[in-house]
Amino acid sequence: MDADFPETPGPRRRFLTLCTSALATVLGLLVAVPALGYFLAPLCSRLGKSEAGPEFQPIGPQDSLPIGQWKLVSFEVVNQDGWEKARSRRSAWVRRNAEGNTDAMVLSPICTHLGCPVSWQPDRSSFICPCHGGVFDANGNNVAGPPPRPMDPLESRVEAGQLMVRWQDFKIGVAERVPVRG
Amino acid sequence: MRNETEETIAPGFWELRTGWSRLKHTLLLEPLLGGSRWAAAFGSLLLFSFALQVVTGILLTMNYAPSVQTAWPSVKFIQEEVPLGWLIRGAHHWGASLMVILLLVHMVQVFVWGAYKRPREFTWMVGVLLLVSALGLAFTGYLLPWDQKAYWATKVGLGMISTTPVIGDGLRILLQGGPQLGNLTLTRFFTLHAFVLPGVMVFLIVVHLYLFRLHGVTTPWWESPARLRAQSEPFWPGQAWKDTVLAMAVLIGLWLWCIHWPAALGEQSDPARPYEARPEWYFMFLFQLLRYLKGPYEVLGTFVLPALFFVLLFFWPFLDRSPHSDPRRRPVAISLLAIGTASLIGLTIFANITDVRMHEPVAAAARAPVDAVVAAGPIQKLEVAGLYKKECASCHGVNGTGDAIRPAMRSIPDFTSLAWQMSQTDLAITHQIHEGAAPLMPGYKDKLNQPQILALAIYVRAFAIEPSPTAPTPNRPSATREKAGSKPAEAPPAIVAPEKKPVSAPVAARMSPEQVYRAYCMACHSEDGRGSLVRKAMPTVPDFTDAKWQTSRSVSQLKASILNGKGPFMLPMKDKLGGTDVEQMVAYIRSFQLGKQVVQVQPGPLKVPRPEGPAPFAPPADEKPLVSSPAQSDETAARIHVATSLYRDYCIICHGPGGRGAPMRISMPRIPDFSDRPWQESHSDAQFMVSILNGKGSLMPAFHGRVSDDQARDLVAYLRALGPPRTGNEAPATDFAEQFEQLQRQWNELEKQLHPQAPPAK
Repeated sequence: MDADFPETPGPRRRFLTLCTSALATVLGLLVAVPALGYFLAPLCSRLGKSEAGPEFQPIGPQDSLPIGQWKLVSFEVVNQDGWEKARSRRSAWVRRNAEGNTDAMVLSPICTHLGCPVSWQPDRSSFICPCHGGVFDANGNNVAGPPPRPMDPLESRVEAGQLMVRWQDFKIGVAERVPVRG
Repeated sequence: MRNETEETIAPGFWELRTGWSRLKHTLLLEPLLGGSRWAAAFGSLLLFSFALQVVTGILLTMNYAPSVQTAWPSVKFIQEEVPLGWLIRGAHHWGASLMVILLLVHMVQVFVWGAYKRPREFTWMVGVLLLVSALGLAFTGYLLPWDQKAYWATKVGLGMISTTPVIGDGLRILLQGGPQLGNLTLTRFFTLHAFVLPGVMVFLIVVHLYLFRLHGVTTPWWESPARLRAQSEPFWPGQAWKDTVLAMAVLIGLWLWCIHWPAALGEQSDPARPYEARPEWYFMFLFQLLRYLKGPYEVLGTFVLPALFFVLLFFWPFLDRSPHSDPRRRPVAISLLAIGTASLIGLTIFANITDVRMHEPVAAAARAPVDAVVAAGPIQKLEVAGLYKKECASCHGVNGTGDAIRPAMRSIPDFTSLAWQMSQTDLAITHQIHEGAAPLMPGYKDKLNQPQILALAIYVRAFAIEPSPTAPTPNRPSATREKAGSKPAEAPPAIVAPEKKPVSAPVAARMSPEQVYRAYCMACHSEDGRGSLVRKAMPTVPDFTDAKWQTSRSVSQLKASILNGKGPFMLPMKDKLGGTDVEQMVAYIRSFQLGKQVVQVQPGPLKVPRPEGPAPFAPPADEKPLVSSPAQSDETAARIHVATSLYRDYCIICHGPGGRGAPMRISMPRIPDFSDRPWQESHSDAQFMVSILNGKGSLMPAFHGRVSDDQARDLVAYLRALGPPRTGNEAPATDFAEQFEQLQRQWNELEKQLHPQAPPAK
């Protein structure tokens, strides 16, 4: 079989080899470029991102919150989740500081270390992350363990006696607080 | 041997067309230097476990739907309802762990044998890439069930990835598919898990095997070349036998493991509910390492160490240049291996043992948010009527009969039908408004708040209250008028439809055949139509799945039995069914043949609406609330729902809606009256439980297997609630029982108003 073909191809066959390789490369690229673009799309597109962040959500009358105690409240956020507008639940730690006080301290429960949900441990007067043992004091400051920054505060305001909270995601694992646009 | 000589002489039928012997020779008859060995089987075992993952994985995709709404329910469906679903999912779940273990064993063995040395460097490197792909499969597969564990573990995993220098954020967004963990993450992980990574692995396996065959098996260092040559034998059948025996042992082990420890499915993921995220055990050491690395050192654990480890592993054949394969002459390499393996295993064990969990406070906190909402003002009846007109009347009609649209929408219920009202619990109505009902009813949870939905449920209930034709119902209309002030009052439903014909005789006329079967037939004929549960007590009960029985009965015979009843136990249905429905029922009975149809016993776990929103509901002071207070916990509500529907499905047919046992007393004189105080007092809860689970006398079937122990306990509470109200100081046993009694009282109140027409009580 091998004997049928000369060992070194002639110029005609070399040229054809070159052309075929080039054409095949172009063919491959024509598939690969859009495919890669499609795959990498989430990096640059606004796919599934809403223009403004989530809206303020009511979490209950201001008066019903205990004074000086942390309480976990949950509320719904609406966001564009791919093809659908989805409602999903979020929670926040809330503490009212004094009677008649119009402001309340609202902290995101997402640990600033790697994103586990922290919980309030009344017997230790601190927030503890169940994943890597991060500890935050009663004001949300990181005091022990790996978390790089204090707990993230969420925007809140009072409207007609109702406490309203706006959900926000933050970049985790870094010392400075960077909102993640959703 | 015989075949081969034949083939060289004259190729047979298959050989001529497929060249099979050459393929066989290449695939199976390659000589193994040194002969077959048990120790050489680990590569084949890995291949087998991969094939098992492929098969079980493909089967799982048949019932899996990757989206936030459907992922968890579809996995639950696989786990609990698809025949053998638990086994296939278990094998896939535990098979992943098995593969990780086998990978480790295979790699250690290859390392000790020095099988990565010249010229087999590339075989090793492809193997390392296979390891990375397998770990990628483990990570992407973990998210797919979309339970709490999946959600939080992936959130932490993506958090770790995002700490990678420079490209971390991009990598996280790329994997996540969107700004947060959601639909796009699920679809992306699913594609990676089911197509991309397995495809990559198949390609790498082919290359790995090609290189393995090219260079041949690595021979043991302790044998002399001459001896090895003397012992050579082909792969088939010597080595294949050993491979198959080990694969069989592994498979049987895996099946037994799956039977003993089914794959877990936690609660559906809920970003608002705290959870102690943990990765799968083989990632635990990395996870725990992060406890000890703070600030700038964090990236050491999340990126630097793992990356360094894999780069070292990948290029190891070129780093270890010693030509020896005898471990005794490679002290550095072998001690590195020993330290590496021991520390991996040690760290894994250490991480899993020292893992501190804080179940209690977390669980307590998780329940806290429910009562965050407090009443702010009552919803007026006027508002409810307006809401009904706006949202519901276009299909259900202002008078609630749904008549106008029925020709186009056959399944629409008639709210004025007592049969329909009796077949629905309050919670079921609320649930349908909240979530929608297939095929056409939309869910209103996004549009209406909880109090509005509750108010609508009460409004729907009110359609069945028949006003006396002469005197209008005493307090309702006047109360409405008072509240409406000078404005012309929107009439409540009872008044809206004053011309409504009296409830027609065939009251069940508008129930679907399945509803009728569930309400009137299933208790005796069972979900699958076999009637096996009651056969001992009622030997004449037919088996609908039996083709012989089906052919021996004509349509008109079946119709007659349904309409007029049969024998001492089968009740006549003619006052419950109209002409067309009997035919539908006969068709429904026919479709049980050969076990082709099974009635679904329980509507899956009920997603109970929770109170929310700023404008909660309080019923007008002069009107009795018909629906239980929204303060009951989700769990209680769900249990009440389940117990109510269980009672409806299994008990109501004989014991009647009020538990008096009236429908069956003639044929079953000993049936108890649950509303009778002495009877209630003379029986303990435990006795009830035993009767429910194991049956009683010759007629009460055992519900063991159809009803779980917990459900039986709730049914007991239900039976207690049917009894007379407790006297003064004797407190109900549990919170649950109390809630139940409260609901039952409200229900009875409603039923009293409906009673004259209530069908099964007659």
